[in-house]
Amino acid sequence: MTDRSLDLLADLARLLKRYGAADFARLSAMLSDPALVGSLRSVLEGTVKISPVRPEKERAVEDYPLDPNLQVLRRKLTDASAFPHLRDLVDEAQRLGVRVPPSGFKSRQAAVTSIVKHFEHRPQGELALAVEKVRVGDSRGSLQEWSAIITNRRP
Amino acid sequence: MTAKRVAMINMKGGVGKSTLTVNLAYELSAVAGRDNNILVVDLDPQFNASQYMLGTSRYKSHVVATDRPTVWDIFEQRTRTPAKTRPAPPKPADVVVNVRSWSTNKLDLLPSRLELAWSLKQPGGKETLLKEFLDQVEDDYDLILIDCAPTESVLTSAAYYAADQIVVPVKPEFLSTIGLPLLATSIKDHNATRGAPKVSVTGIVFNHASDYQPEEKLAKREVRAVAAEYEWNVLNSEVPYSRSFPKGAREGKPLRSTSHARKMQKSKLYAVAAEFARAVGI
Repeated sequence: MTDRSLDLLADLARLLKRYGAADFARLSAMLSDPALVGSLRSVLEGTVKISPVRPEKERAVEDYPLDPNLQVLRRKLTDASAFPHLRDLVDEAQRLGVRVPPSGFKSRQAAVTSIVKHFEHRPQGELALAVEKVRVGDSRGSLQEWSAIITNRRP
Repeated sequence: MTAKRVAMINMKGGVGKSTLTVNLAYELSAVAGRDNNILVVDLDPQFNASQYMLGTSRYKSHVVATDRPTVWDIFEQRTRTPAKTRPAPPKPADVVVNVRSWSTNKLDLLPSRLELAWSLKQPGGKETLLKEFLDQVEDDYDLILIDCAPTESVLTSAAYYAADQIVVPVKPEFLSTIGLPLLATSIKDHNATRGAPKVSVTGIVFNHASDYQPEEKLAKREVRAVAAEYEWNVLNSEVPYSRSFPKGAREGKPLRSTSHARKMQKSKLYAVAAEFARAVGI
């Protein structure tokens, strides 16, 4: 049995629970008719609506009227690969000397905003240092990327 | 604080030394209540621990692009080249890479690179260089874990000089167990070297254990027999086999942070880390 067949079976089991065994048995006999299956498919294809493709919402970071260093800081902090969990952002805030409320941050967005706001009024030098210190997103890399690193080794 | 220095060694390759080293480092630093400062030393030219902990982007930015020194430069600090007419030991701040920092502690890496293999060609006088380097940073850490290459070489000798204890990951299968007598001989030879600090095996830890197949049970019995012969401790906790280990290595995460890792396996690894910490004295 293929994975798709197993998926179908699981769906059928759920429907069986929902509609009961009697209706299921009646319908199973009708479904053995390939003509019925074909007509059902054509009806469904005719009624299914395809959602229009919406333009991707622009990232807030680009619209944010901020100092370029603050923008970089914000972009780094919103990188989910560098900070996959809220706790990572809390740790980063503490590492950067940003006060964390006793109850913590309510969301990732709140944490990023607090950190950025903290540096809004700090000297540029301090901000630049913070930008440098914030962890960068960690692209784990593919085999090709590691191969490139290894084979480009020094002569 | 003065760091405990533990070399993770097995003369047999493929027993999961690097994976276990990295996961133990995370278990003992990233888990609440275990806020140790840890340095992982990648002493293998295959640099798997570096790959695991940094990923390509950080490895490129920290090592390749900046030509930052690695463990290789520690071994070649006295080598004179046209570009380096005045050899000097690399500074710890230049070599050590911070992998993760928390409010209370940190996890650092001394990365490696493929060229470390070249140090094997001219090994003379390099055995103590890693120890001298670690002497400078040991007060910054609670634990220094040295991930060793599976060969008898100057790198192994350097690990013996640099470490004060050895932990041996063993995969419970026949070929893996054969590495133990080789290791015993290697340690005996080192300890007999004039002026060399004595090292001892703190423990053997079973890695990739499922405790299911008869072959595995037999291999464990054999390991315990060899361990008894050399008076080596075998940890009661065992690192379970888990498909989440290779997944974690690909994603740069410890087992406990990978999605779908089973609670049972996480708790077993937690128990191994606890017993390991007690055994090495942190």
